[in-house]
Amino acid sequence: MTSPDKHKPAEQAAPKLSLVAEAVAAADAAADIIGAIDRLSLSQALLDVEIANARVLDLTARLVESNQRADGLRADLESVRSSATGVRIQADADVAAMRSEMAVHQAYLDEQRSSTAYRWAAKVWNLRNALRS
Amino acid sequence: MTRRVLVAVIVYDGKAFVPRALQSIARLATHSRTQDKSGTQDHSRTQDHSRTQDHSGTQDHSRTQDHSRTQVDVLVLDDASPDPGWSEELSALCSTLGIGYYCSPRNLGIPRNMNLALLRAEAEGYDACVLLNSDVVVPLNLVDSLAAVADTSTTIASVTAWANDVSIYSLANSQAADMLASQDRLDAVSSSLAEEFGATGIELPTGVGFCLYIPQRAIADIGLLDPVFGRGYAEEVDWCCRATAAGWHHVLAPSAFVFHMGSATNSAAGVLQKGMRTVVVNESIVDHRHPDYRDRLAEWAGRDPLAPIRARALRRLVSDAARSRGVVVDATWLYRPAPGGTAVDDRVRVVVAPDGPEAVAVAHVDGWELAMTVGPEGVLHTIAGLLGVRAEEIRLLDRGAQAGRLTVEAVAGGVPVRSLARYPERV
Repeated sequence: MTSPDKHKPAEQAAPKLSLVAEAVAAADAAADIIGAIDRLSLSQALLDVEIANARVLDLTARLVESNQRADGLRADLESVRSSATGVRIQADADVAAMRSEMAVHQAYLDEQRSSTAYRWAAKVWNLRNALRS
Repeated sequence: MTRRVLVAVIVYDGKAFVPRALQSIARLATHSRTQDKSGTQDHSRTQDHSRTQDHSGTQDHSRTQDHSRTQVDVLVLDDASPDPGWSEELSALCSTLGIGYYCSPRNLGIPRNMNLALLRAEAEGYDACVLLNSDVVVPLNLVDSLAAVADTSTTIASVTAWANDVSIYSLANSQAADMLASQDRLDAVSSSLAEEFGATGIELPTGVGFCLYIPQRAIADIGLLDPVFGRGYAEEVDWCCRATAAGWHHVLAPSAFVFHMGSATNSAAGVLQKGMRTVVVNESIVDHRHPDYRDRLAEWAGRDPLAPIRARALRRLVSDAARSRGVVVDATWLYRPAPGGTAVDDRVRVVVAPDGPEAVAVAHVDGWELAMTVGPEGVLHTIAGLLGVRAEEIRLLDRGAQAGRLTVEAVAGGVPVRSLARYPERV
């Protein structure tokens, strides 16, 4: 009769082998996941970089264009300011000249009004108006 | 036909909570492997739709396809936390739990990790992907419930799970950390809500990325999340707005209830600065790209289609507890919940203001609060009608006109009354 102990080593080895096989399979599966996701991660990262670069280029172009427009608008504004300043200076000079002329005319008028002949003429005129009314 | 779903959990830090979260999430995979679902029917056929009310904004279109089985695989995406030894711990934990694990060689941020998950799901032929935070505890019915809602229409781009903390869509719980973080309790809550709501989906202006189910067909049409959102915040809002513009919509699944710790994820990942609750730059990007978004959000919030759903949910949860554990009525000005999750008395407590022109009653259990409109027949009659059970006893902790009426009602109904009031006058 065969001793039952004779079969024990083989029976004990079988569960251990299956545990080892499971561990190896799990490690392989884990490595597969890592490899697969590494590839996905890399390809997506490259795409992301392309998109990011394209966005930078686009935004840079729009920034440059905006800056150029801003420069143009500043130049236009400066030109308008200069013109306005010139017009104002000329207007001020014209006003000053007109005021001078007015002062001269006023002085002449005052001189005329203060003369003896003017005063006598004014009195005769008032008397005439009074006699008529 | 087997539905294959990839559940992807993005982890950066949060060492204290992550093991618990992963144990909860790993069950989904184990459950799907051990359960033979060939004999069960999917939710959209078994639920009694006559119980679901016609709320404005609910989705109930023709089903997409029948799936008699769901196979769930879990993948943890480690975003290369600098915490020494944490990645090794995480890897070992995932190995122990029998779930997938991948660690990025560099920190990518939340949007790019979400994209990795979606790319993996596409590459391996999954029907859908669930994007999950690592500060959650999930119920066993999570994937089935989310999938059932997604299957109600071919134009649903995302299904958001319900939770105690999910932005403006929350179902608030005052003791969430104690009550809902318990796996058994959470499973029971989600199961009750699944019975109540079935495959009903509530229309949302945008999904929330803490637990987001995305069918593969939506990704194929809309594309991935935009990495311009850096380390994260508002990336799912942008994606959802793009989807909406392309004719898709987004729904909430009240049948899938998750415990969500909250801003822990964004704080731990360094997305949010200390004291901040948002990333201003990311909000600006959303506003610039989708100028109608805030208006749509305000319109939805004003209409509040979730209000009747919340009321139904609370009534269901409180009445379930009332039926299994009983109801006691406390006439008191002050309500204090029993300390952390191991209440000596875990019955439903209906707190009634002892005085005042009208009876005001609120039922409290497990952190849930259900305000009850007391009818002319009185508090006890209202409790019986609303919760389906009689109150076991009345405890008078304070005096007043309402407490007096309650006493009269209790005596007439044969309900025992205990006077525990210590003060002769109202405080």
